[in-house]
Amino acid sequence: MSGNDTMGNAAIGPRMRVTLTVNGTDHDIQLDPRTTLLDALREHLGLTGTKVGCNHGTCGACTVHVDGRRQLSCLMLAAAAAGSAITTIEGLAGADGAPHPMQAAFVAHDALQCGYCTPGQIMSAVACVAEGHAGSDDEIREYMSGNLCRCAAYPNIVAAVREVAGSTMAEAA
Amino acid sequence: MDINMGNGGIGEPVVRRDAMAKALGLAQYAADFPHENTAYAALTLSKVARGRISRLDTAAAEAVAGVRLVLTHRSLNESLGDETFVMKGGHMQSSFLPLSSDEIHYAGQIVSLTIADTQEAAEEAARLVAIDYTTEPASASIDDAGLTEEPADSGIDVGDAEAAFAAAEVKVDATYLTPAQHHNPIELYAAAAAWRDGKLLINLPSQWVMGTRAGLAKVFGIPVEDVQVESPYVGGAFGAKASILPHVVLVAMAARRLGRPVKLVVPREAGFTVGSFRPAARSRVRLAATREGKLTAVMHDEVGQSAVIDHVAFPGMEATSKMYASPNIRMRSATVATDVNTPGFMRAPAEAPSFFGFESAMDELAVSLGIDPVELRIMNEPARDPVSGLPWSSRSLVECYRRGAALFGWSARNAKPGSMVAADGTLIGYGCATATYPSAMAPSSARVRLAADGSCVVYCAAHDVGTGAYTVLGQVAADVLGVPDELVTVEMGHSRHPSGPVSGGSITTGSAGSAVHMAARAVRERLFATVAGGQDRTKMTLADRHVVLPDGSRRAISDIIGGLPGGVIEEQADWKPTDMDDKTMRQGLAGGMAFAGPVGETHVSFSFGAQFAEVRIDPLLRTIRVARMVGVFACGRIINPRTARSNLMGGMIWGASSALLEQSQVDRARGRFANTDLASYHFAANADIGEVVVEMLDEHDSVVNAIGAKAVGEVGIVGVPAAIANAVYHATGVRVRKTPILMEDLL
Repeated sequence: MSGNDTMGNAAIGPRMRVTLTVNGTDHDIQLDPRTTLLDALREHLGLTGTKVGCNHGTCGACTVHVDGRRQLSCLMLAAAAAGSAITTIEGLAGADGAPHPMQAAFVAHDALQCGYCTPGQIMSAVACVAEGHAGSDDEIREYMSGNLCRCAAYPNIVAAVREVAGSTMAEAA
Repeated sequence: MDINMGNGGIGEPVVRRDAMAKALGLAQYAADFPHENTAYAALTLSKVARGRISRLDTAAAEAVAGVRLVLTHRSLNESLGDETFVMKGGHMQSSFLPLSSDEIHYAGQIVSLTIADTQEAAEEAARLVAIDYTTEPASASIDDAGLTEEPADSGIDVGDAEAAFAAAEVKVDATYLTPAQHHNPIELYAAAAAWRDGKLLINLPSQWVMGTRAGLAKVFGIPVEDVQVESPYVGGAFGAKASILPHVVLVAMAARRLGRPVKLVVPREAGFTVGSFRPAARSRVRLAATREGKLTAVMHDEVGQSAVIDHVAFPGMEATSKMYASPNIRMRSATVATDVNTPGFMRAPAEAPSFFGFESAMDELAVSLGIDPVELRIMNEPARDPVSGLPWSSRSLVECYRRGAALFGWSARNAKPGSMVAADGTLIGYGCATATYPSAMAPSSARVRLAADGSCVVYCAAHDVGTGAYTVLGQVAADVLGVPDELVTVEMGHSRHPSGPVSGGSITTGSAGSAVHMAARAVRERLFATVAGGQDRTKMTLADRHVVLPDGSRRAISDIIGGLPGGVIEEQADWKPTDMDDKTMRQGLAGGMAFAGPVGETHVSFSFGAQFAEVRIDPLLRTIRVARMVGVFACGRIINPRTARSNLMGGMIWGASSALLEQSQVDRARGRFANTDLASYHFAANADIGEVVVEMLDEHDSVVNAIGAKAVGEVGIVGVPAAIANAVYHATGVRVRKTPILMEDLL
């Protein structure tokens, strides 16, 4: 499509080169240094499974894992994530393409309605279990409270996390 | 795990059809669609509430590298079609379009849209748009001095309520306040517009793709066929995404001017004023009864917040007037115009605020009478609609109360306030309240295609806003055609499909579901006609992908359809509610507002529920927790108990959130909303919510529509705020007549 600018402003803004390692793959991209990890994933790498809900770190929809820890990707500059291993919702499934047990548990327990907060909920839920913060329903509620669900699927989210945590603990025993 | 059992037909707890796509992060929402060469937009909002722009300087913004366009009221400079406000028969969220003049009508009004090659440049430039204002005094609160109340309608009168109230033995007269609230779906408002050959494709989260298409065609003066609205997934709506918000028009305009796609994701704080909100309201409720507890007068006067730019009213009296048997009823509704963005529909727009007051007042009456609040409601159960005198299509409220009381353990309640105390001193309170919601319906089309392999596709321009419509509409077709669930697909949320209704007012299942039912039956009729060969078609059935003939022989669907030209049977149906005329139906199918019900020619149709809450209150700090809630509902036939349960559960949590957390605070000095982010606009998080038990009665309603389905989406919220307020009273003896109920209200 041809540009039909009303402004004679042809220059593009500042640029920097960043290598992001996302779901095991290196991506070499040029971006504005102010770009957040969230916007880099969504707008530069086309990984739109990570959602934008507030850009303030208040809703949790943009939760990803950075070096195995949960991270609100709206509060991290993409440049600051260079050199780290980033996992998004698209990278959770197993090598055989089978859904992660947490993804399967969310489906089985109807732990989602509109689905928009779901990728962030699932990324948090996986981390919640790995952190050892899924020992009781109350603990799950507390450690899943950084992820808001306006449809309010909360009791079903707790059930999904409880199921995965239970089977994880059974495996460890 | 109770994964799909049975054939996936009506009544089966089929797993949400779109659940795995959502869990995998593959479901595409409005801002997720890639468009080549997209330019990014950012908003600048008015810092004042009322006045005019006196100076506008965009030079600094335009100088930012990568900026392509700064759209302001000066540069907009083109006339738009005269599309109107949604409540005047159009499709716009407001009759005022920002950038159409230098006038400022409310704080947070869009004053410019900046478009650049990158999001970062657009945001930088948007902050550099320099604007000065001349300001005038503004009121954003209905409590400000000097505002006048205007009657919103002629009211409802049965008997002589004033006289009956004056003469009554026992009475309650109290006023209840509910604040402005904002929907705050987690998916932000967004729009991505692309023009090609004079045709507009727009991605936006929409509860009404057909209405949005009709409205945008009118705005841009192009045929409706030249507009496509795509919204396959909506990240929460709750009424916020039904009409056309102003940014959508501006983004489409910018895309046309630049000749490239433009995308805007509206920031959370801007969403408070770019979109609509639930207006503040004040309810005065007067109830009178005999000493035995029979209501003799029911009066409800509600004052709701409206806007100077648009008159809007959401009176709840159509519902409150129908709750209980009373020979005398008087209902009045008024509005107060304020300098705010136009209020709009938010989950149970009329019912949720009005029932907080009305059902709190019923509890106050129960206390005055010394009668159990459940029994008071049951003893005033009306056999017919007390206003119209018409019978109910179905009403199982008493059964809801009986079952809910048993599930909740209501009989363990000691009626004396403050009498139930846990071992650690925590005060325990039990409360209950009634919920209701009208079962209205709108015309809808649907197309159903059955292929030789038994696969079935349903097409309808309705929407799944998280309610389960993708799943439910497929079940209706599967039920008629005997097709297993895994062979069913449902295509919705796109204006290219057969017309569907606005997904508002809890009408989708009853309306679009009836259209799918009609289309699927037409497919079945053709199937039967093809094999009839003189046999009685009315005695044929479908089972396991075979037609079973009256003589008991079976013919495989694959053989029947495989022999037809094209290899499919496809039928489209246009469905309308029984009482609706053809002209209204055509208006509705063309993307206009066209509703029938809940009061029909022969019956009145509402969903009902009985809701119970247990609160636990710290005796010193007065912190309030909702330990558990029980809701028992009668919503006609439940097509999918799994998705319906989740919907009602979410509604109940909305109710708890509304009771204890939610309010859009008004900075009255500046005439603006003060808490415009999720750090300060609180709604329920996971840790705020305890146990939630939802049951749906097996209710048969043969009148309401072909599939017997009444409203599910909104009834869940309606009674909960009052149930919690009543529980708070029971725990503490303190009657709080406003939401949210805060710890300081109990000190």
